[in-house]
Amino acid sequence: MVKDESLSAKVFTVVVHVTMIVVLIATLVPVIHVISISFSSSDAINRGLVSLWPVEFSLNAYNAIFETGRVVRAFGNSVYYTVLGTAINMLLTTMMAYPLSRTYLTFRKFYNVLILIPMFFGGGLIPTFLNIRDLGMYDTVWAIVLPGAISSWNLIIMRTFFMSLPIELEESAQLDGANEFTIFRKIILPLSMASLATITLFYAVGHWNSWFNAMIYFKNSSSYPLQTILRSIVIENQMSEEIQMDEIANPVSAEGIKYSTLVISMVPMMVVYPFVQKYFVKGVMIGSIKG
Amino acid sequence: MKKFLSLLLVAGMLASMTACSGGQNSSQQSSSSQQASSQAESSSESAPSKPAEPIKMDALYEVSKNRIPNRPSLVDEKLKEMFNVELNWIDQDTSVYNEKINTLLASDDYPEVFWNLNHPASVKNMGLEGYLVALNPYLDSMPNYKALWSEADFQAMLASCSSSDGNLYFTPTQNYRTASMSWVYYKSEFDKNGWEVPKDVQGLYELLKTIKAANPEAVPMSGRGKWSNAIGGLRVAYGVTNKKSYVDPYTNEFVPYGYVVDGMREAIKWGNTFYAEKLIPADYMTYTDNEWTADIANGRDYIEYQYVERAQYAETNIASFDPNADYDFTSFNISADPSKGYVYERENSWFEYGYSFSDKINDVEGGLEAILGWIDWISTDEGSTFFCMGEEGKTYEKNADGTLQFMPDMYHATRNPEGKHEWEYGLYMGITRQSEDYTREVGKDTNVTISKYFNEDSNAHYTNPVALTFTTEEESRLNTLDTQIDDVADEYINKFIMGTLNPADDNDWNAYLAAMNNAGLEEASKIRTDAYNRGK
Repeated sequence: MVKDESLSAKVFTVVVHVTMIVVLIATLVPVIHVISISFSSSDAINRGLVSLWPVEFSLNAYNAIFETGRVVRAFGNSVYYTVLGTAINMLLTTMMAYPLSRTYLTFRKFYNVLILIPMFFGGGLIPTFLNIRDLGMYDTVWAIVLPGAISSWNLIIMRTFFMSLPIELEESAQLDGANEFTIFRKIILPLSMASLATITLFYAVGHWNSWFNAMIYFKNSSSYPLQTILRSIVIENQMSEEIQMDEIANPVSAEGIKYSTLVISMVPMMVVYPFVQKYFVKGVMIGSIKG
Repeated sequence: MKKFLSLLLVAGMLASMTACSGGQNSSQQSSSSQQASSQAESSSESAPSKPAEPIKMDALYEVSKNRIPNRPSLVDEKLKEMFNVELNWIDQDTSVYNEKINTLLASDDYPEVFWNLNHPASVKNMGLEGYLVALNPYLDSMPNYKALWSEADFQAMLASCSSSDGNLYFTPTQNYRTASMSWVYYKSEFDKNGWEVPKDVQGLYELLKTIKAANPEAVPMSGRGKWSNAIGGLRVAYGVTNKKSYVDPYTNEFVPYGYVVDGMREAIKWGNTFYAEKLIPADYMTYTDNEWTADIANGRDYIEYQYVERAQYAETNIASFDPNADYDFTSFNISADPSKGYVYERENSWFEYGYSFSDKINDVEGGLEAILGWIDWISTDEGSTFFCMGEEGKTYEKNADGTLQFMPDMYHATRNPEGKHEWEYGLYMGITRQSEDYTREVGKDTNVTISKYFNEDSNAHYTNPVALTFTTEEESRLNTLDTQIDDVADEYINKFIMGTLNPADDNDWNAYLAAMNNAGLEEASKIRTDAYNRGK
C-alpha cells in the first residue's frame, strides 16, 4: 500500500489522533472517578475529596453490598439469563435466517414483510403482559428470554450474511447427499463465525443490560437481574426529603454503595469485550455488504 | 399479495379487539357498595369476634430500601392471635410502583389488601376506577381510629383525602407533629464568633456577609438544589407558606398561587442579592445532595431553613472535619417584619398514606372487618406501642421512669448504629399513629420540640394547609395547567435569582406575570378559588 506523505495527510493524522485522545480522556475520566469513589472512605466521599484516585482506601461499600447477598444473587441471575437467553436467541435466529436467505423459499417476501412489522409496531406493555401471563410464563425465566427470542434487526443482519455465501457450496454439498440441515450445520455455520460472534455479542449485551422486563414479570426481587437491582439501589440511596434516621448513622456512604454497584455491573462486560472486539468491529459492517 | 396482507392485518385487528373484555369494575363497585352498607351495619352492631377459620388474604407490602421483614413477623403473629388473619405478603419495591401497579390491576392479579401504599394520587384514582372499597360507611366502626383526630380535623382530613367522588379509599395516618422546619445553624461556630441568628431578613443578610468575610470558602446559606430550597426560608419570612394555594396567615385571605404575590417577589429580590454576593451556592439550580452534604462535611454551610432533624445529620457528617461541631435549630422563624411576629409552615394533622382494600376483599368473609379491627386496635395506646416498639423483652425494655427504650441489640443512631431495625420485625410500616417512645428513640423528637415551640409562641402565625377538592374535570384540567405554570415559574424565578432578569424592575416582573397568565394562571386560579369556596 502506498503511504500518503503529503502535509494534508499528516495534519489529518494528527487531528484524528488528538480527537481520539480527547474522546478517550472524556470516556475514561468518569470511569476512573467512579472506581476511585467506590474504593474511598465515606468521610472522603461526603467531603468531596475524591477525584481520580481513592482517598482513605476502604472496601466498606463492597462489604456492605456483598453482605446482603442481593447483588451477588442478582449477578448470578444476570449470568443465567444472559447465557440461556443468548443461546435461545442464536438458535432461533440462525435457524430462521438461513431459510430466509434461500431465494427459492416459498412466500419468502411475505415472511420478510412479517419480520419488518414488529420493528415498527408493538402491542404495548399491558397487552404484552396479559399475553405473557396467559401463556403461563409470568414469574418464570421464560418471560425474560422468550419474548425477544428473535430480534428482527439481528435476523436481517444474519440473513444478509448468509446470502453472501456462495450458493455453489450448498450445491456441491447437495451432490454429496447432504440435506438442508446438514448443509446448515456443517457448512454454513462454520463459515459464519464472524457473524455469529457479532450477533451473539449483540444479544448478550442486550440481555446483560436489560432490567425492565424482569421488573414487570417477576413477583419476587430475588429473581431480578443485576441491572434491576442496580436501579433499585440507585433509587433507594437517593436522599429522602426528610431524614431517615439510619441515613444519619450509616457508616457506609450511599454514594459509595451506588458507585460500587456500578463497578460490579461494569466489570464483566469490560473483561469480555477485548476478546470479542475484533468480531464486533468487523461484524457491524457485515449486514451492509451484499453479494 | 397486497390484498392478502391487508386481509391478514384486518383479521389480526379484529381478533385483538374481541379479546378480553374489561370494565367489570363499575358493576363490581355497585355490588360492593351494597355489600358495604350491610357489612357496615352489622359491624356497628357488634364488636368483631375472632373467627374460627383462618381468614386468608393477599396483602401488597410496599418496600423501600429493601426493608423486607423477616417472616412470619411479629405483626403476622399478632394478626393471627387477635383476628385469625393469615396474610400472603406480596413485597413490592417502591421504585417500581408505577409500572407494577398498572400491570397488576390490568391483569386482575391484585391483592385484597394494600397494606401501606404511599401514593395518594394513585390510590384516589384506583378508587375512582372501581378497584377499591370506599371506607366511608366503616369509619364509625373504628372509634379508636376516629379518636386520633378532633371532629374538626377529622372532617378536614376527609375533605382532603377523599377522591373527587367524595369517597375515602384509604385510611390516613395521624401526624405526630404540627411543624418540622426552622433555621438549622452551625451553633458551635456561632458561639465561637459571637454570632446570633437574627429575627429579620436584613439581619440574616448582614450575618451571611459576616460569615463570608470570616470564611471566604463558606457557602453561608447552602441547601439542597433548586430555587425552592435556596430561598425557601425567605419565602416563609414573607408569609408565603406555599408556592401554590394557601391562606394568608395575616389577612386570612385565600391565595391561589403564591408564585406571583408581593411577598414572593420580595423573597426573590433577596435571593438575587444573596446569589450576587455568593451567599448561596452559585450552582444552586443543579446542586446535588452530594454537593450539599460536602458543604456541611467541610464546614462551609452555616445556616439554612431546613427540617430540624437535619441538625443531627449535619453533626454526623461534619464529625471528621470538626469533631466538636454542634448544630442546633431556632425556636422561631426569621420574619420580614418581626413586629408582626413570624410565620411557620403548619402541617396537616394527617399523612396521606394508609391501608386500602380492593373490591376482592368483599369475597373474603370477614376479611374487611378483621383488618378494620386491626386498624382500630393499632390506634389504641396498646396497639400503637406494639406496632412501633414491638414486644417487651424482645425488642424493647421499660426504663425506671416508665419510658420505653429499644433493646441494646436494636438499632439506635448513637447506641447501636448497626443494630436490628424495627422493620425487620414487620413493625412500624402501616401505623396509624406513632408512639411517643418511638418518636424519641428514632430521633424524631426534634419535630415534637419545634412543634411545641411554635404552638406555645404567641408570635407564631400560621394557617392550616388548604384542603381543595376538585371535580374530575377540574383535576384533569388543573394537572395540565399546573405543569405549564410550574415550568414558567421555574424559568423566571431562576432568571430573577441569577440576575438575568431584575426582580426589582417592574417591567421584568410584569413580563413574568404575563408569561404566567399565558400559561393559564387565571384559569387555574379560578379553579382553585372555586374549590376553596366550595369547601369553606
